Amino acid sequence: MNFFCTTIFFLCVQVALAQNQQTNNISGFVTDKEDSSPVQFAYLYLKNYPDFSALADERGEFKFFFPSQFGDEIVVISSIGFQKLEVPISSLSKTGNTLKLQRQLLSLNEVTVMPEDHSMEEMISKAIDNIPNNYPDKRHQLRGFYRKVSTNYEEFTKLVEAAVVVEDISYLKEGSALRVKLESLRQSDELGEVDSTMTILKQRIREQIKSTGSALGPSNEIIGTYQHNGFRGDAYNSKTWFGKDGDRFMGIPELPTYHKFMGEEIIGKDTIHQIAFSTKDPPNGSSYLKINSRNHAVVEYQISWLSGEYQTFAKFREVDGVYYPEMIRNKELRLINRDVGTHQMDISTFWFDLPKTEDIKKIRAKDALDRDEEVESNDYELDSSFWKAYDLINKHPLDSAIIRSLEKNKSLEQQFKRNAKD
Amino acid sequence: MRKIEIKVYLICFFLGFIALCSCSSDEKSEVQNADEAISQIVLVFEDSVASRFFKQRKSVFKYMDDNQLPVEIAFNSKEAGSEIVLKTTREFLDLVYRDNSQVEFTYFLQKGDSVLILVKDKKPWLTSINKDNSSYPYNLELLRNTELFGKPHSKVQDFYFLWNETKAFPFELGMNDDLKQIKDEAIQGFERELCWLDSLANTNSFSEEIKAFYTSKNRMAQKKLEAYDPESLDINTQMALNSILQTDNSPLANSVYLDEFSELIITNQTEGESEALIDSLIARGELNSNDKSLLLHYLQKEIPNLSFIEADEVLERYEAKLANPAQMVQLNSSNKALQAIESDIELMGLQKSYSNFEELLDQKKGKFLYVDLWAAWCIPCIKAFPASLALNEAYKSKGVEVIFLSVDDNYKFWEEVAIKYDIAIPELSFVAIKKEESEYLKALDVALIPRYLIFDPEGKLIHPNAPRPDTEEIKLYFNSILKD
Repeated sequence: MNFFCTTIFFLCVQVALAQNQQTNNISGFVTDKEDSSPVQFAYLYLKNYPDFSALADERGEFKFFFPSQFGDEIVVISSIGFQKLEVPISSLSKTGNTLKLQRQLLSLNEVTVMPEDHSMEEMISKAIDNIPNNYPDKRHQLRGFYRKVSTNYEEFTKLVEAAVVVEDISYLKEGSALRVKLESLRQSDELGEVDSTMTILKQRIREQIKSTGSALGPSNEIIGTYQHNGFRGDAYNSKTWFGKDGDRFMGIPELPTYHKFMGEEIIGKDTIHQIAFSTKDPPNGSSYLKINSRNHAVVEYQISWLSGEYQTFAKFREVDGVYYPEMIRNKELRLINRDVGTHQMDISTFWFDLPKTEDIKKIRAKDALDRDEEVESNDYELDSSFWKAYDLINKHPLDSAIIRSLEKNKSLEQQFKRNAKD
Repeated sequence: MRKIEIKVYLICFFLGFIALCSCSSDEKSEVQNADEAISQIVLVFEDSVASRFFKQRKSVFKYMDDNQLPVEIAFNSKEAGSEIVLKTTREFLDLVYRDNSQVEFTYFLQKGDSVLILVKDKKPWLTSINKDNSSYPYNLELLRNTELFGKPHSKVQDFYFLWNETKAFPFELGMNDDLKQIKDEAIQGFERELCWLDSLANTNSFSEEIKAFYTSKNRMAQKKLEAYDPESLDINTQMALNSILQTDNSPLANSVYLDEFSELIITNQTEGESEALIDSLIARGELNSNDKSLLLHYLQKEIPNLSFIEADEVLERYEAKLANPAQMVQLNSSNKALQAIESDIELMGLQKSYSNFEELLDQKKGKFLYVDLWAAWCIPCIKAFPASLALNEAYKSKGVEVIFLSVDDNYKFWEEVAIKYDIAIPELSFVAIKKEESEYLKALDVALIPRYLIFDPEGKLIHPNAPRPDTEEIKLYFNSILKD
């Protein structure tokens, strides 16, 4: 009796399974509209939330995961040499989509020449040699807006927003010399599951590293995100990828780094080359450098570790012949509990205003944020009127889907108040 | 809950309809089906949300089958269906749930149970389809953790989590005091759990069998925890062993818990200790189910490190002592597979000369081959090269040759690395290419290196996991096979 009962029950369930698929991933192919050939390594991202992105492979195939709240979003597909395409997710099916890109018309004198292997290596090497010329070596200040959103890819679990002024002396100096002044900070409730055992473990590991005298990055995430900026003295003077004495993205024979030329963009009179690199052959494009051929400046880079659990991205803009950060973004695993497999992520983004290099009012040591001050275990005064008037947040408003998710129990305004100093 | 009842009602209606239609069909098959229904446990996902949850969390169910061999059911693959059928002739069976978040729940199920899997507060929640039950029997460990500890993990799980992380960390973490404190809390937790089980049993929330199982598991878990010393960070295997051998744990017989406990003991023992243990158990007389579990794990640990001939000898010696022939088949399966399969590895030699492994074996006929599997990222492999080279020198005249075979993904730079470490010797140094196409490499499972293989003068694999080149054992082994 039971046997039949359950068998039929399974049939019903299977039917339900087929109809009830909740989409939080889409897949398909990106092709050239003209001849239907695959477009390699096209970049897909959510229009209003570009932190969620995916990359098509060399056969044009892609699989794009995003939080389920973003079902109403628009996905943008971009690839060098093609016009950007925008498609609402709601018009796509879960699998088997074909996204057709229109070729971009190039004028006759813009002939693309693929650089050879050694010239890619040369290009990267020149870029590193030119770091001292291309990045600031004078005192300057940047107004910056910092936002961290945390997600477990089912919902959003934490929000921190801070308005700051960063004062950097020179990219040749170590990061410990820079000062960050907090203008205002607000944060939401913690909606993630914090495991006290994990907290103990993290604390002991930190203590251990400290006791060996190794350099430990700042505990303060705001300073940490800025300092991650790839060309600062810390990186340039080390033996890491951007280090002047490092392997220069070449690897060693035991662990080689492979390169792949991904294309070029022509912006005004400049030609920007995009070079992908990876320890896997061929590189899939999730780590890349964009180098300006005029001055060998790295104008943008993205470096991914593991399978994208850690990723750092930075974009620079030229002001009077020197490059300042326009945007820095770090993605990392959020280690608040033992559940490290479901991609709980912290996504920290910094947007910067134009730099100020003259008539600077120096940030005094007592006004500067402590390098080891942990934001989430501290309370800050809440200045609601400041946030209403703050220009940078108006340029980068929080996505409504994230707001809805964070406000599932209580309004953000209430949460900000609750987590602020009385 | 209401919804489910309605569903079941509807299903029964369908069932009646189907039964009517199928009345005329073969009666025998229905009898068989009825038998099957009794000797199985069925679990089914409530909806796509539940099955998706299992996939996302990389959930695994584990149980011991009737041959006392562990079976794991994973849900990360695309093929995983919406139902799980556990065949068993045992009256009760314990099923362990684990996932990414490192939670662990043991469900004590009865033969004939039909269970619906739901997801509640991001945790699996089991409920009976065919029995009217309170929520305790099926979700006892989840409810224990939330009611007693206010979180999804128990205190003892906290302890093991920190213990394992501390052991795995490459540096010494000052964790001793934390471990000591959590161990004390875990012991208190066990006492609280016993009271909790008592009070629930008194209110008839579950049966005597369920109480006996979880009480035994609690006692055994306490004994196990005692063997962990936060001061020295060592497991006292003798203490752990005594708790298996001396306590009455019959309600736990053939459970996943006892199986994993035996495995832990054997893994932490030296080879000599395990051998002495097994001998003493056999000398004592008839083996009980716990002893047999220890024997099985001993053999599982031992067999992969033996030559095929030695493995056959060991298996022959213990065959009669094993719980059943299926365990014998399982112990033998990897060696059998390796002996049956063709060595289809594509090779590249120095200066981009191509060949394959079969050709190489053919060419080297008449000699024993000691194959050193390595990769450029594997530091212990490279450190052992001088020993392999010395071995080659010492046994060259006696008919043994050492082959260096790289299994590195980065084969483009292989020759450079081989030259750098002085193993770029013509006819002795190769790299495996198109690795993913080789069934032989898959069967060998070369993820763990350094690893050494020995082939006989006929070109047949005789040792899948030979001693390292710098050991006495390898010399003894060569001396013994060269004498024959």
